[in-house]
Amino acid sequence: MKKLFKIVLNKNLNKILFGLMILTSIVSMYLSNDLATKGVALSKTEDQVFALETENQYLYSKYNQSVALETISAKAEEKGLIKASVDFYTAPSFASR
Amino acid sequence: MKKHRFHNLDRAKLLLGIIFSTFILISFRLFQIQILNFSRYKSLAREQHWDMHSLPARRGTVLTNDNYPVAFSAPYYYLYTQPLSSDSLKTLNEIKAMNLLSQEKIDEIRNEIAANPDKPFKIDYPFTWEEKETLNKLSTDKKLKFDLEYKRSYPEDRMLSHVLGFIGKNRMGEETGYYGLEQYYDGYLKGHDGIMVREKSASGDPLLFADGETTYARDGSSIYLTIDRNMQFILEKYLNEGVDHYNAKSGVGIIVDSLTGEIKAMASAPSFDPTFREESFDENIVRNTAISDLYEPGSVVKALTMSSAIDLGKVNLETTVNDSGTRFYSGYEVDNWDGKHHGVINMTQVLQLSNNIGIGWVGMQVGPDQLMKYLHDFGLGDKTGIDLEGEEKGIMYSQNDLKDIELINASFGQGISATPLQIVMSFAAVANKGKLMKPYVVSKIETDERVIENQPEIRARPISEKTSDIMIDMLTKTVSGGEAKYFISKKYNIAGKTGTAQVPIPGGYDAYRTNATFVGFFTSYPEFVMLVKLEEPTSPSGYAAETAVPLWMKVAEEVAVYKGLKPDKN
Repeated sequence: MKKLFKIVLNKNLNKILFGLMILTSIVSMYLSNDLATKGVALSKTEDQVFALETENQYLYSKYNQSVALETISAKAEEKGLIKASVDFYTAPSFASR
Repeated sequence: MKKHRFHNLDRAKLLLGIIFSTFILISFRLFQIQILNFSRYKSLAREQHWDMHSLPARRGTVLTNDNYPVAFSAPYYYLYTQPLSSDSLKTLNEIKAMNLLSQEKIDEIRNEIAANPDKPFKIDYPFTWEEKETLNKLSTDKKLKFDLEYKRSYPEDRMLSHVLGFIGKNRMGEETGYYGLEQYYDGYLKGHDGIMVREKSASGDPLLFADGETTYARDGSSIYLTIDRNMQFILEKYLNEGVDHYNAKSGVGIIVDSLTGEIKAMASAPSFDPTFREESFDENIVRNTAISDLYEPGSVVKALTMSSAIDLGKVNLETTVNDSGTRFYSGYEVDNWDGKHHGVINMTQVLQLSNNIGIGWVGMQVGPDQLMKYLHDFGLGDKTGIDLEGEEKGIMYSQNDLKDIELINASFGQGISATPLQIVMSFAAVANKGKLMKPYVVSKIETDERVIENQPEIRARPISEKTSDIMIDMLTKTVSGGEAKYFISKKYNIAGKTGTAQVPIPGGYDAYRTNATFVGFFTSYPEFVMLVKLEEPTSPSGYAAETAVPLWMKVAEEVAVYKGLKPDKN
């Protein structure tokens, strides 16, 4: 019993324990802060992923509009391109029937 | 001393009364908060502690057979202005500077904001992603709030509009498909919205290790069509031109693969803009007339009557009939469409001349029961089962009580009604060795879990392979020597039949109004069967030979070039 009191009252040991307590508090504070800020970073990343996905969908929409046959045909007409004529069928004048 | 004691007692009572009243007040207030206004405070607490985001599901994409999306949901953003402030007014000026909204609209919004200065206001303009980004850069208000919404986009504009249908709001305010594929496959296309619930800190940032639940949105399934985008484009282009050129009320065109029943192109003219607003809704414009409009098909049915007679062995290529003049059936006079009579003619000539007297005689040989049975087997009077909303089944005589005149009329396609799709499918059966296929426009559906594929399905075998070969030969001669010969192809043999049917009116037929149809196929490439129908064309005439046939030829010409079909004529 006497020995135990001696250890408890040992000043050096107390200093070490106090130091450890301070250190673990700092580590604990650091970890808590890290976890809290990671939550924010994670949500920002999630938002970014979502924004990029919607941007991708928008670009897909724009691309498909630009390769639509309607668009290509209108542009071809605008550029003065004409359809190659194929001598496919006879078309007599009905007035002569 | 006594007085002093009383005084202390009064004070004690007063204090007790105050404590008791306070207790009552607190209890009442707690009752009010916890019981009476429970839901309000619960939701307020939830708002403070929880961050809830709706995750909208994207409606499924519809793709043609070249994997091109003809209908898909594109992201758009709606801006919520902050309550009335200098920033919100500046934002409006920036929107105006970007030329997105007119001054009139801006003023309207400004007035709305001024009228309700405490509430955020949704600007009814769908910003594209690009516009949203530009506005974010320009705006001094760094907390612009945009809400994402998906809007149906149709990159090919009006093309395929009648097959696709459109999106509208139902009574619950939910987006629902109407008409066409959008309605028929709504269950697959719409998907399920999701929700994200996250616990947040006092500053509003989400907590990493906290309670929360996310139900991810399930996007709608992708639907792949049998439609060939190029064929569809060709068909629609000429059909729209044809309706104008021949001064018709409307037009229908269908191209079907006779071997499988796959619809390669289907168009109704005039087409419509599937993004129209509710106020401009017109049922007559949005209805897919290829499957929903019944009409008396007229002489195209002569090919089916002839097929029945040949299949039953009642007539053959050598059989002749004497077209000596008008005939009377059940007291009604029957004459040829041009009033001309040709004496003794064979069965091929009956079709070439589109001879009513001749085909009436053939119909009598077949008999009412058998003729109705064959027409039913060709798919008339029954829905084809196509996977589109709004199909009609047509009107047919019942087999039991058919008068002679009704039999004669039915043998040349009058007195009965059918949809253009039924007519093209019956010809597809002739082209496909007598096998009637079930038509379909969706080749496969890709859901999250599985792929559902549509397979070709034989509905009936109305005629034998031998009859089919004979009919293909007869129909080829019908085109080269019949009414359609004025627009004969120089490079390809074509099998087909014209049909000019007068429009029924109460008590008879209108002599001046007709529906003109031509249905046929390349003799050497019977897989492409095409129908073109014009409603009441007037220029240069109402005859199919002068309207539907040249239009059919124009489409066939481009389809042949596109598919690289080798000419079979020297």
